[in-house]
Amino acid sequence: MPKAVDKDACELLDADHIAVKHLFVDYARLSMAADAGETKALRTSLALKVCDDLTVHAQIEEELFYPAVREATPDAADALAEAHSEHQDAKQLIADIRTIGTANAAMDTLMAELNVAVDHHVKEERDELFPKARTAPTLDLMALGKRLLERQNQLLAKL
Amino acid sequence: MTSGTPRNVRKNSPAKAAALNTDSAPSKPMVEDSTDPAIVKVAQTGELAGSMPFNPTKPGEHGFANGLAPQRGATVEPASRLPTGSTLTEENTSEKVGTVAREGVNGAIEPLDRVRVDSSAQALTTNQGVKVADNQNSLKYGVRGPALLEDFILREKLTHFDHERIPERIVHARGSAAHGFFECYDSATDLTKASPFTEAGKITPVFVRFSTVAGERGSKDTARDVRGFSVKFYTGEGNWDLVGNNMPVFFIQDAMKFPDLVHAVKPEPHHQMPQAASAHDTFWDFVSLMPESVHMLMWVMSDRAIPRSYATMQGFGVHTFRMVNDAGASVFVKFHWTPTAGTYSLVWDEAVKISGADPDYHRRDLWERIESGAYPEYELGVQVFTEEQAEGFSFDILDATKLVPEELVAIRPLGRMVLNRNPDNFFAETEQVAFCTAHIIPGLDFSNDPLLAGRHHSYIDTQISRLGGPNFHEIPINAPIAQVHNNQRDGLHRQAIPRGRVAYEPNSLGGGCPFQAGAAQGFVSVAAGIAKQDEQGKVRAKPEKFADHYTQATLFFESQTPVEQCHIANAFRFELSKVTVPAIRERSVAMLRNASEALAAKVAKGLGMSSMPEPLPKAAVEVATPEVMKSPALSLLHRPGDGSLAGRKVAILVAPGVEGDFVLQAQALLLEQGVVARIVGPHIGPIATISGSALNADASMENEPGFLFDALILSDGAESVAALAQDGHTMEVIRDQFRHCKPILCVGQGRQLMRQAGLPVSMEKSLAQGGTGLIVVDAGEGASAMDAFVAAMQVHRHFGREMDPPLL
Repeated sequence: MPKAVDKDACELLDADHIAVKHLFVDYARLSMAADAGETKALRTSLALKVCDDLTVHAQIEEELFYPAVREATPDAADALAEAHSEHQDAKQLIADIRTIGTANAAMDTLMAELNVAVDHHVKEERDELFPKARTAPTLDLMALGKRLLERQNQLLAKL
Repeated sequence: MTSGTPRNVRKNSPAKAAALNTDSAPSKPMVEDSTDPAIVKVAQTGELAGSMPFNPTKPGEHGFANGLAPQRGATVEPASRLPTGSTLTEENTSEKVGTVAREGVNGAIEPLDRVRVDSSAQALTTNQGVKVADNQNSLKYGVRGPALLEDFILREKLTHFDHERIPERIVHARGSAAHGFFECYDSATDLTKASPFTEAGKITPVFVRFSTVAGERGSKDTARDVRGFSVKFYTGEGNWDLVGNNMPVFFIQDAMKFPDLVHAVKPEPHHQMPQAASAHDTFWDFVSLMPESVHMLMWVMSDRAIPRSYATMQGFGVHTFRMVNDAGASVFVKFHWTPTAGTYSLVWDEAVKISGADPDYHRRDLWERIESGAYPEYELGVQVFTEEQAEGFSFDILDATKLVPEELVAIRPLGRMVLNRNPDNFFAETEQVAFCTAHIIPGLDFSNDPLLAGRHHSYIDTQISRLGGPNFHEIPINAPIAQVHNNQRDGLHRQAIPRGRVAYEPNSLGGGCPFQAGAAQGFVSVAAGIAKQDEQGKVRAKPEKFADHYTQATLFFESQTPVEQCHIANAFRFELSKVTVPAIRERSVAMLRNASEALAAKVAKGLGMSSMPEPLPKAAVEVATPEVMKSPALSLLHRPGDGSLAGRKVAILVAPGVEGDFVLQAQALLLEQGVVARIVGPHIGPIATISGSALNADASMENEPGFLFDALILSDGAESVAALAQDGHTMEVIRDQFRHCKPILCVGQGRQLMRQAGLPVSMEKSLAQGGTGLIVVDAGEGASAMDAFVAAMQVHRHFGREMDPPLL
């Protein structure tokens, strides 16, 4: 494996986006295959990992990244408001998935909905929020990246 | 001429004299004991005609019951072959005329060997068989003098050349084909008496042609388009053509709209652009005014419209057909071809690039698979349902824009098809093959699908003009293996030489032959009733359920995985962005809103629309509740296949100083899987390795760009990596492999190339998590990573790294 290098805040968050997308893709592949009945355990563990990772991801964005961007770039307010509202929708889907607990057709549907919602959210962050953050003169993305990573590790350790 | 010499001349002279005329005769046949063939022929002809004093089957031509069970035609046995012959002189043979026609045989249906040509050890000749002494110079009066008109060799050669081209097909012009066989799993005689399905293990020869629809004969293979999937079964009961597509639905519901649809999608008539593309004004103008097309648009915007290979796509009969068993009982069926290798597609960016580097991509892939023994294989199955069941469906089974969800009616497997022989000659076979939906055999029948009815007409009609007349059934590739005997005669390019003077039925002069087969052997149409025939007369209108344009478009979209949905949205975005008239773009998005608000919103955003147009008004106010809301079978991921990688290709990038042992090891390991791994260098030819021995690169990054390969190996070696690092091609290869979500194995210092190509640091977490299809290992560990690489190839594409716009 390549040696880990320090990531700025956007890179760190985008790494989460890409990693969780891999999990979504694996889940969808398993759920669509003709032998979906035989992959319930694997799908369940994938779904729960997605829920955990996204929960932590949303929390560090809300605690650290969004406030920092809001402060540094006032014109990001609309995008941030939308991001917040999308987080709430995702959290509801995550709660519903956790309630189901074991992979079944209903979970497949919810995972697809969550996948689409996250894709949409990620695209908006990548297209709109990250360029603003990257060009905000007062925002130290490397320092923010470090704080995000620390908090992320802290939260992951609690899971 | 010896055997024809008259004997007993004196005794039989009146009869002989009469028998020598081709018109007029005595009022009574002169029956005399004679061995004179002319007299015998007259006498036996009289007996033959006399033995059929009237047409005994005439009464049976009347009434409904007789129509369901027509009788066999009346025949009488001639006393010898004399009366049914054309000429007494047929006994005179030669090297050219051969002998007498074999009794009851059409010699024109013999295997293709009868027309195969091999020129080994043969001299060049004219078409008249005259050996050509000089094929370099025209005949001139003196070496610097004028060319002479008498040069029949030059004129024949040029004249033939001038007429080499025939009209290309109006649709499906671009195609590739192969021979093979269909093997029946088990007797399906409960369903059908059709010859290919009567017993387990029965083999029926087939010829299969795959094609795009819109592009011209020389156009690219990887256009976004429907693929034709036409199978000609050469059965013992005649030719059956299953003229299908790789999508189970179509744009339109009635053949009346065929010319409109095709005119709309073809290059625009004023400037003849764009070639092999639906991304233009006239297509979207038409389809957005024809909302019944929206279901098909979902399929065409999906990755199914850019298959990885003809061997990795499904096929469908599209229309509802019938199967009829021996008892005359009929059921409705939908035909499905399922590829053993699974369903796999390209991605759009890749398809676009391939169309430049290798417009013959699918043709080459099919040819190479078959040539290498990786025979494409498909399972044929049918969805079977009764007329009563069909009436209860929420959709109309006569509507070609609707499918029968597999969750509603499961597929019953019937047999498998294997394509195991490439054609000898593209023109003679692939170009001249003529399919027609109307070519069916006993045991099969049609539904009343109005699109199908029009196809029955169009295919034959267009072949007549394309192949130059009504005798295209005699072109070797089209000739059945079943006996062909009828009274159709003459026409341009006729090949058969029918014996005898009878070209009509009923007849007594041919002993009644060829006779009508009757219900026991012949094709009898299913006596399908027409619903409510008392209330309905001739009418130009559609059934009510045809008006539900959106339910199944929604079903298709909702049944895709999010990645597939994303590709559909991106395809709509691409196509509609190419439209030059904003009103057409808006109308198309307005249509999509009725199928999926989420899709429409995504497309609208991608097109920079500030607000969504109002949805199109719907043709159907109320629609029936669909039986199935989600059909996993509609996702490409539903059919991963048997895991075989046969036919796939890998690029192993090398430059001087490469760690050569691993390259050869990887190549051998992949070949065991049927994967062709090519050694791709900065140039073709010898590439020195670390150990000093040379590898032979058989492709270069210039002549085989990276996107032509299914996966990539970056091998180790400091000098090799340094050389590749300064070659701009290398970065393109890596970026394309990454962007197209293909597996990459990176050994030792090869990882420097990944970094240089711009692999984002944000991939790190995914790499640690695994399952990315990017396999990065230390020096010397390449060989042990091959299992993981093969497993990654079995996944085909790793869409986890796909972002819109792309990461790399």
